[in-house]
Amino acid sequence: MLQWGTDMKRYFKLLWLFIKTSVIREMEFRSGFFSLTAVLFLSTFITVAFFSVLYGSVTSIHGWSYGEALFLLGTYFLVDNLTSALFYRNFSRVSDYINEGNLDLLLTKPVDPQFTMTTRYTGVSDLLNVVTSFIIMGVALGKLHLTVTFFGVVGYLSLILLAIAIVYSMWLAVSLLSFWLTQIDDLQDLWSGFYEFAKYPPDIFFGPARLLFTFAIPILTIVAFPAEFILHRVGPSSILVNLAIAVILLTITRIFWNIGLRRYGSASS
Amino acid sequence: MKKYIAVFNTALQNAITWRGQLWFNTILNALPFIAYYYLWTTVFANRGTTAGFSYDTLLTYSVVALIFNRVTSVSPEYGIMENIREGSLTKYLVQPISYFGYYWASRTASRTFVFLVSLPMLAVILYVLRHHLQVPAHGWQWALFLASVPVAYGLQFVFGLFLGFLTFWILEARYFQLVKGLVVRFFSGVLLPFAFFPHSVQTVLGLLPFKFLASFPVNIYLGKTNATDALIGIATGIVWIVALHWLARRMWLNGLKRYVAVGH
Repeated sequence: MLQWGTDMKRYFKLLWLFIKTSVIREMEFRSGFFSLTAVLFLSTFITVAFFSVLYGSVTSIHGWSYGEALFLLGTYFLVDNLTSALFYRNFSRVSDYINEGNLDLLLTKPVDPQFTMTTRYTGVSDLLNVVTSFIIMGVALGKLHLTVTFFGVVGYLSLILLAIAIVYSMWLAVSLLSFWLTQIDDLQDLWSGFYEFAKYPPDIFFGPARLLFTFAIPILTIVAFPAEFILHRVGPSSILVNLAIAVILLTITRIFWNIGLRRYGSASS
Repeated sequence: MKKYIAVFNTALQNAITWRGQLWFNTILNALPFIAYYYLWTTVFANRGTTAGFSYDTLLTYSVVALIFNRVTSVSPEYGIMENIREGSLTKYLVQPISYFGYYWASRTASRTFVFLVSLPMLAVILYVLRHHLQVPAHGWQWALFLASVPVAYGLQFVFGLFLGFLTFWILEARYFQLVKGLVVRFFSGVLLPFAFFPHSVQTVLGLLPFKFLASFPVNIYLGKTNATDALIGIATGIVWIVALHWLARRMWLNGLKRYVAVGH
């Protein structure tokens, strides 16, 4: 137990150092940082505009009012920005690590290589854009005249943490396909393409799509559960469901990682 | 002309060699169709008309707009930005070939290939939605709709040139390419028909050239534009291309004076 505690402390310290060096790195290329921040803001704005224009013609989408859809959208961007900030720069390098043999370096270090590979770089612009998602959610709550309780906030934050864990395992699992398939740069896009479905009210999906996005690729629960928890559409059981999904997916990804590692041939170095 | 045909052929072969990625692209490109199908079905299936669109018309609008956008989304900016940023532009400057001509030929080749491989996916989508999709009633609609394909293609190309040449001044212009697609899809009417927008916004959108990338051709397809307006529109689109192409050339000539051939 004591060993576990010191290990955790060590990993948190490393994580902190990784984030710190990422901020320093990005601040060296300041104009790039500002351009990227502006671009992220613009894309958020367009998606919000899409829903605003759509709700100009309808009052409700399958029981979701404009305010509720806006709150869902804010949650979508929150999960999107947090996971992009934490993972995008790492997972887009997975194929390089594997195909160019850079993974060797990580394997020789006294730290779990999966940890270093998936946390080394943080995107500061994405982290900054988290503010935008809170603004969207604030506006939505204002429209809904909804008071948020302490219990609601705790439930929401737990569901967001679980969402990050679920996104981590699914996105990593897709990236780890690089152990088998080379020369595929678009694996990242495949993940973000599917994630886009989460911005719509989950109730618009029916039949096979609903099943697919709830159980096979649980995109709908990641974003919808936290939002629905605040909107009193789901209860605390949603936390248990997502906890179970997170544990299962993290375990599967870990097994997948170990199988992949056995295939790793340390190409070219 | 012969050398540009050679560029076209090489680029086509290149695209065929790297076809592994295309399977992923095929799945990716099917996703928006799925999203729109569910969105419109849930929202509009049991309504009469919204903003002048019935459910079937709206579904047809989105499908045709997405396909049109996919066929015409040429993006020369990818290569141009890299050439300028990393100094490989020099290679093209010393060769007896026009830089503009090179990109026209090579990008058209890769677009052609992407279109050909996406045909099976399109066939499946059209088959699944066959009871809802509408087809133009008159031959002239087909003719003018198809005539607006090269107009949109030319405009997309020129937008790409602008974005690419921006790199002469702003090295980080590559970040803008991340939103180019989204901005174009929003302002051209791929995401939502103009009829859904407030009237003041509609007026502005009608004056911008983005409409030629989706809203304008799809409205011809659906018969929401008459033949005269369609012809005037296509002529206007061509004027836009010529004007913007001229501007892009000015940008290119000015930018070259700033070009420093990093690393070469």
